[in-house]
Amino acid sequence: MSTEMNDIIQRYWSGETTQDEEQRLQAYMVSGQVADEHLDMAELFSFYADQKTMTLPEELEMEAIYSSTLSPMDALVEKYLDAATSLDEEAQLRAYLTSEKVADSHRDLIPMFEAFSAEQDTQFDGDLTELERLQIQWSQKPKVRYMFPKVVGVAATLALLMMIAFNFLQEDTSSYKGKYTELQDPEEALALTKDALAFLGKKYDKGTASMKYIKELEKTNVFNFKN
Amino acid sequence: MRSLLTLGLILLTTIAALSQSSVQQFFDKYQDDESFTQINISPKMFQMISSMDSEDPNNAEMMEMIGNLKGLKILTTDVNSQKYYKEFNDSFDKSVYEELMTVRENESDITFLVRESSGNIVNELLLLVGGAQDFVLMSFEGRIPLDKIGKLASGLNISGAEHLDKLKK
Amino acid sequence: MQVEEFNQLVDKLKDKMYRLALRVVNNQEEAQDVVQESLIKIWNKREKLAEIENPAAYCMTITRNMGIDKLRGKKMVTTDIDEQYAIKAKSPDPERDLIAKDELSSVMKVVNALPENHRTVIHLRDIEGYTYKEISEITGFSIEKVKVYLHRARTRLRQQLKNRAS
Repeated sequence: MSTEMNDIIQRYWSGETTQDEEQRLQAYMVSGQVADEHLDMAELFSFYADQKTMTLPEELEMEAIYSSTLSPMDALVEKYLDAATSLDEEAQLRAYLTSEKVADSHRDLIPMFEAFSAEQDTQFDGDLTELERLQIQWSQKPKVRYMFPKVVGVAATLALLMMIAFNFLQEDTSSYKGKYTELQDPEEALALTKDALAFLGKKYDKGTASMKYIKELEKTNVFNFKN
Repeated sequence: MRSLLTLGLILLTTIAALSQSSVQQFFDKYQDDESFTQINISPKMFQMISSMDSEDPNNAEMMEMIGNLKGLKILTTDVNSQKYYKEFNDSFDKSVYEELMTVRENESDITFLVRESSGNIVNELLLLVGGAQDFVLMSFEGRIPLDKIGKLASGLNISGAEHLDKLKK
Repeated sequence: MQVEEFNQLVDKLKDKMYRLALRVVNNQEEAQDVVQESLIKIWNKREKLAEIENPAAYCMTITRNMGIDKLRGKKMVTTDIDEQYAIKAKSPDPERDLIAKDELSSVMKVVNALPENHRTVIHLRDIEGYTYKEISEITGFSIEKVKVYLHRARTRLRQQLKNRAS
């Protein structure tokens, strides 16, 4: 028995054993009938066996570990560093660190928390003129929200505004109401196109006119207009 | 490898075709809806118009503009105007249509969108109106010079009324 | 969204936005620019804002993104920390003040040396007191990732402060 085992053990150390032999080795090592010269090895094998049954600790178990091995505040600090604390627990921690009885092992956290709370008071005192200007501009009619500079401003002819374009929709489309129409008569199509273009032109004019107004505003503005 | 490339090309062209029609889809969706009025003037009709012997010396700019048009579509409704305005704004393909400007006028939002612009010429101009009462979507297709549109309006007020009268009878 | 409604939101948020911007860009003047530009951007998008579930988180997201953009725009970060974190005298003992000021600015130096996502997360949690979910909304990281960053940031912070002390 022991000569055979000695042989297996020797080949085990040089990595030549088969799985089958290793199982036999393991069975022998935990059998309780281990030869004295193999006792140190038996220890190793029982450690292996132990490792095999180990599972990933659940979060709850971790908490149990924290609380069994550490003082409550130690546990809270560990939990805090693990980013596992709730906001309430963090408030608790803050209260503890600003109290008189902080454990020496936690003193290093005090400047951290002090710095955090000092910064909570930082206030914005920057310039909001630009935003205010935009808001004022918006509240004046007509309201233009966005343009790209490609458009060339056209002289506004607001004095010549015609009423026809306003009525275009109600009047011109009334005979086609509630259905899909494919125009077949060129005369009719031309007339409608003209009115549609008139409508378009008028709205467009109005838009570009207000754009000119915005451009003037921007020219006089001391702030750099971005976006 | 080659088949992969072909597939990629097909995919790309499909995507391009799909996105280009995001506006067309909107028109199609409400074609049979009775709460909408939809009018379409086809490219063929515009060819006929330009071959017509139109005499309008007061309005050379207008006729020039019409000569450049290839299609006009109008979609309008007076129910749920705000809802449709929002729906259109959410659905059109932002990679294809670029916002030219948005104007607010008497409770109405008026948006101009353009597709494929090179300089001052655009291939499609969309006019979108979302008012308290009306929703209007107009699509002008062709080669549209943006800088001529404003001039168009000022020349129009003389002749516009005649056409309106014509349509009324 | 009307002007008053918008301004109410801004009044509530602008300091928070400024502190976050300061954390990200690490420079007072630039942080002010970031807030200004963010507010203008938000103003221009106010219609979208009205449809958003959590407008406050949205504003913070914009602020952070604008800050990151600014950060990318420059290679070197130069700061004057002492000026930035100068704290008002709270005790009549000037020597104690000096120590306190030193400590605070050294903490902040360490915080600001963290990678952007680490320092943003620790800022949102430990200075602003946001929940993990809110931080996830603002940064776009998953809650798990938020916790991982927070864990690393806190551990590193404590470690470096210990080293400093010894």
